[in-house]
Amino acid sequence: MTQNNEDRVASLLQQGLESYGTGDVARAFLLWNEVLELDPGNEEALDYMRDADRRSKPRGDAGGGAVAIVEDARRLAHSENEEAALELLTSMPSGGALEAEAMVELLRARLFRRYGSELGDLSQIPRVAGDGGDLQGRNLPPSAGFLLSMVDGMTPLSDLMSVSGMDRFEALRSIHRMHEAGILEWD
Amino acid sequence: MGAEEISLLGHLDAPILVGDPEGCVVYANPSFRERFCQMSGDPVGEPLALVFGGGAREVVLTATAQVLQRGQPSRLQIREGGHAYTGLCSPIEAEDDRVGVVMVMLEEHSNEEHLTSLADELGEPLSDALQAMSTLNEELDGRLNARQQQLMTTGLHQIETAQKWLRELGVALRGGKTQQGRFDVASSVLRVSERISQEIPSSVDLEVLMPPNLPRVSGATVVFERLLSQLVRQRVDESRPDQPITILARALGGDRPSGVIVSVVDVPEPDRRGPTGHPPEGVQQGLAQMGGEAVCVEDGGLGRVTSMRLAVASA
Repeated sequence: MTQNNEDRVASLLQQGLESYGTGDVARAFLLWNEVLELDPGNEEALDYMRDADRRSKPRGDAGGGAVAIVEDARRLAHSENEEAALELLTSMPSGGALEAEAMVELLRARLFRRYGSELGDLSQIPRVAGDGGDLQGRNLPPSAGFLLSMVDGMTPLSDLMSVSGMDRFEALRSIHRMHEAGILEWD
Repeated sequence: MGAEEISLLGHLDAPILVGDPEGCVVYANPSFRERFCQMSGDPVGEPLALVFGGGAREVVLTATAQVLQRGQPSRLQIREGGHAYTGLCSPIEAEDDRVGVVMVMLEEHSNEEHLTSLADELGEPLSDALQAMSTLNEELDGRLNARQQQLMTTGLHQIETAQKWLRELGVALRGGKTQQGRFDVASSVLRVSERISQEIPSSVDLEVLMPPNLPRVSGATVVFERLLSQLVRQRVDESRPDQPITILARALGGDRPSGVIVSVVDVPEPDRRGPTGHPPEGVQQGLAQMGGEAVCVEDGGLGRVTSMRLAVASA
């Protein structure tokens, strides 16, 4: 990651914390999600997202808390930030309200289409950008690392998704993020 | 003086029958005669096979044979004259030999089937009423005064509440028990999507997103596939022709899954869609019978998702 990007990540993390501190959880998620676009698997951003919802939800009010989070997620999705909306919803503790889980599925379906149209033809053959030497500093999540390990310059994206054994949404999302972050490229 | 008049058994309301090892009746108390022998006269000396008819005959003969063979009591369930009975069949032993069987019948008073069919009958008019009022509500949009609109909203809400309680009643009538069995939901989703893909025009884009493995869930494959097919077909009928339909499934509950969520995402066409967006009533009832639940979340700008939560089957 370039120095510029590192500074930008640090700034976004800080701005997210400030938004969270003022009670604007949705904006905080939006900013932390931007961090993940620059640095997929950034542990700090993921930790903030995991903890934020738990801390902000009043005890004994799981139903009301879930409704508020779903509304925040809707707001994010309507402002073209479906990624952040999904992160916000999936950071809820397991056993969440069915409405929230349903909203997650709605966003997954929409994002899958979006990734597909942005990535284009899935018969393209990806390769690791540059010499790959920078990968260790990227904080890649295990799923992304697993996908990368199968990138051999001969296997097309569609086959990569099939042989990964991952949920097709998760596989495409991971590929999309690595492409956005400049880790994967193709002609 | 008849045997029933000198025996305590003659004064019991429960039908009681005694048979010999050859399978013939040696004693039937008045209650048994009244309930089982009104048309056929005195059953004493008659083979059991002639006393009982229909499906009850095989059940009684099987239970009698097992009792005489093993010397262990056996339970049985039969229907006679519109009533359901649970019976206990026990051996009669004398000098280390089995000399007969005694059968005591207890009538089941719950009349579950009748109540269940009444509940089913109520479902359809409620669903029609909801649809009619929703359509009326849409067509009168903006023309009702505040009080009338309030009445309309209350009416719609109350019908939905009645439907919810009807589903609860269905579950209660089954003694709170969900359907037995467990099945592979991932295989079911794939089978349904393949079937629907063959039915619909090739221009409709049907996508399936789910992990290769999902935990097994409670319920019956046939029932779930029928419900999912019904839901997907309805969504295909209502969706915009140029918009895809996505079926998604995933486990809920992290490392120790407690459920599986199966969803259908579509973008409904305003002119083709139902007034409420709810899944068909039959789907909701069927899912409740499996111990699951359904919800529909709709957002004008994002689309519509209908999700079904199924419980993970115990090992």
